[in-house]
This record gives sequence, structure tokens and C-alpha cells, in this order.
Amino acid sequence: MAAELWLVRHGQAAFASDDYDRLTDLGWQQARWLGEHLATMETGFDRVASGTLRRQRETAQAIAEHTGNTPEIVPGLEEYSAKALLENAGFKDRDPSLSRREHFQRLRGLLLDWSEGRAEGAETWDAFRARVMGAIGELTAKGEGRVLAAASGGSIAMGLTTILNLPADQMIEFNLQIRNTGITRLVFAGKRIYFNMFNAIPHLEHPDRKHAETYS
Amino acid sequence: MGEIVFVRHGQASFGTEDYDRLSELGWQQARWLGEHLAHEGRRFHLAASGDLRRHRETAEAIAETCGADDAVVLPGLNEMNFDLLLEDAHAAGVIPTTEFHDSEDFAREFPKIMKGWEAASFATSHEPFAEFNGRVTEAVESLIQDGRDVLIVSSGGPKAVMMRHILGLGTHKMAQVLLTIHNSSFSRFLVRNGNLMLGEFNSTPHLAGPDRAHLRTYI
Repeated sequence: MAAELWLVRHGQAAFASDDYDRLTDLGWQQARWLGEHLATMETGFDRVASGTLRRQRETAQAIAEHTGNTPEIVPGLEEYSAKALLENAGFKDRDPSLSRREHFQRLRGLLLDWSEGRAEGAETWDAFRARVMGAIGELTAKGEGRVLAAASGGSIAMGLTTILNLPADQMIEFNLQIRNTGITRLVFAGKRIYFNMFNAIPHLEHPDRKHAETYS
Repeated sequence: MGEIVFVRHGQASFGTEDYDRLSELGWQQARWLGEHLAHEGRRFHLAASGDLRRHRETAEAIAETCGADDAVVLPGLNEMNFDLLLEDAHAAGVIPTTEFHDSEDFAREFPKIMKGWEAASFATSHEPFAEFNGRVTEAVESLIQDGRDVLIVSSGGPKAVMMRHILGLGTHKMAQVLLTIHNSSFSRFLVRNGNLMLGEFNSTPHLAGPDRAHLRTYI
């Protein structure tokens, strides 16, 4: 007996707009395509869940339309607050003078500082880890079945880093590589947890969907 | 930029006299992977494989539809000799048996073999763990070049070595990662300024759909 947890990063959100926390048209499309893809599988999902953030709930909703589940909300998989890290360090949350690359370079440095207690976030690094692992524990408590949860790049990266016993800098690497609606899969077999898939986008691997492979 | 698409060979002939050739299913897996990659419009600058027959056959099946400008065979990409390690670990009492009831049973014992091999806690004529890791990493790194897309066909062991190398996995986790690698799955290692980053792991988009469920194999 084993439990499968499919952690899906939310679809593209409105990165440069006033309200990041909602899907763009493309984000909805990515999530619907994933739902369609999953609906063709031989086995369905026992549960489709998400964290509390709107972009996560919208992603679960779009997927569940196709898989026939009723989406539930399981708190704990919300993203860490990049805004708090940036503002507490005296930066603007959205600094128009920075390129996307420069923005993430700055964030990378702050994340590392946060993990070592040298930068202040909206919560501590350890509290972030604890809530992510709490949600993963809740989603797999039954020890069997197949569960999908819409989460965020940072929370998926944190779960993976913890399960693989890796240091904080690897969380940042995962975080920056996870694509919108990318699938990361964990298999729970008794006490063993297997890292079974990372950042897969089978639903976007078509010549006419190249534009839908996005990082933000 | 540039990336390495690292493929595990298709299903081999486990339980027959010669494991080292693809089963019919293995050929099918590899052909569908090639078709999938070609359909996506992919073409590689270089295709590399180990010199085991199951590696070369997998590379051949992929190349039927998804081409590469150049091809190279690197023995550094060859798999460990797992049967030898299993026997030697058993002879030294590291594991209680070489007969396993099921995959769960095997999954429990497998990390002990890898850790014992690393720590040289049992006598074996096999190349040492560190040497295996070193020659695989060296072979892969010899193919890295910014801007070049490389297809590698090899086995679960070398893929797990690269996962360890890129992520910094401990030996126990490396052994667990090895066990989850599907036949004909691909992983993507991104090349950034000469360094590798994990872009994707253990994907099998070419085996999606209920009619291909029987093709999602581990051995």
C-alpha cells in the first residue's frame, strides 16, 4: 500500500500586476489542460486540494472541473511572503528598476539569509517548513490513495528539500525551477517517502503549447 | 543555456538469460519517447549512450524519429554490476537474502547494499562506489557545453549518481531515488555557466493514457 501525493504549482499568476494572487487567462488555461490530461488517466484522484491562496484555489478548481473532484482547502501549502522578506530588508516589493533576473537574484540572497536567521520574513523559516510538512502529513495521513494538491513554488521546494534532507540553498534552486502547473510527485510507502517526479509538464508538451511553459 | 536530457533505457530482459537487451516492451517505450521528443520539435546536438546493449538499443529506437547531429558512446555511462554487489553483500551478511518477496521487501534492503558498498563494509571485486560516482560524473561533465542540447541514454544507477551530484543527496536518499526511476523516463539537467541544475525528474509523458499504463515499468 502506498499513498501518492501530486504537488502541482499554481498556473501563471498576474506577476507584474497589482494583485499577483489570481490566475491570468494563460494560468487558467494551463490548469485546465492539466485537468484534461489527468482526466485521461486510468485512475482518478481521491482528493483534489489546495492551499488557501486564490491562485492555488483557482488552479485546483480548474483541475477538478475535469477530474470530477470537489476541491477542498488544506491550509499549510501557501507561499512564503517574498514581499515581507524584501520590505523588511528595505527593498520595494516590486522594484520596476530591476529586471526579472535581478529580482530573483535579490530574492535568492534574502532566502538564504532567512534560512539562517539573518533576514526577517512574515514567519520564521522553521515555521514555514513546519506548516508545509503539516499539510503534506494531513494529505497523506490515510497511507493510501492518490491526492493532488495545488501549491506554490516555494512550498513545494520546501517540502522536497525537507524530504530529501537537503540544505536551504537547494530549496532556492528548486523554487526557481518549478514551472507553472509543473507536477512534483511523492510516494509514501510506510515510513519511506520516495521522490518520484519533479516539475513535469506532460500537458504542455505539444508544439502548439510552447508559449504555456512559464516560470511566472 | 543548453540542457542534458538524461534517459533511462527501456525495459530490459529481466528474468531471462541475458538481461542486457530490450524487451519488446522496452523497444516500444523507447520508440514512443523518440516520437514524443520529435513531435515536440526537439533535435539534439549530440546523442551519447553507455556501451551496454540496452543503452545502444534505446538510443537507436529514439533516433528512428528524433535525430541528433552527432553520436558518441561513453563506457563511463555504464551501469554498476548490481548482481555482483547483491551477491557480495549477501555473502558478507549485509542483507539476509538475495530472494525478495516483493518490491517493498527489496526497497527495504537496497539502501543497505548501496551504503555498504560506499563504506566498503563488504568485500567485492566491483569497482568502488566513489570510482563509479566519479566516472559517471566525469562522463556527463565531458558533454557539458553552454548552448548545447545533449541526449544521454544510460541506466538508473548513473542517473541517481547525477541526482546525488546535482542535489547533494546522501547515499540512502540516492538509493531511494534510484528505485523510483521508470524505464524510458527522462530527466532534464540544465546547464548554466558550466554548472548543472535539476530542471525535471523522471517524466514519462510518452506513456500517459490508460492504453499505455502497462508501459510504466521499473524493471
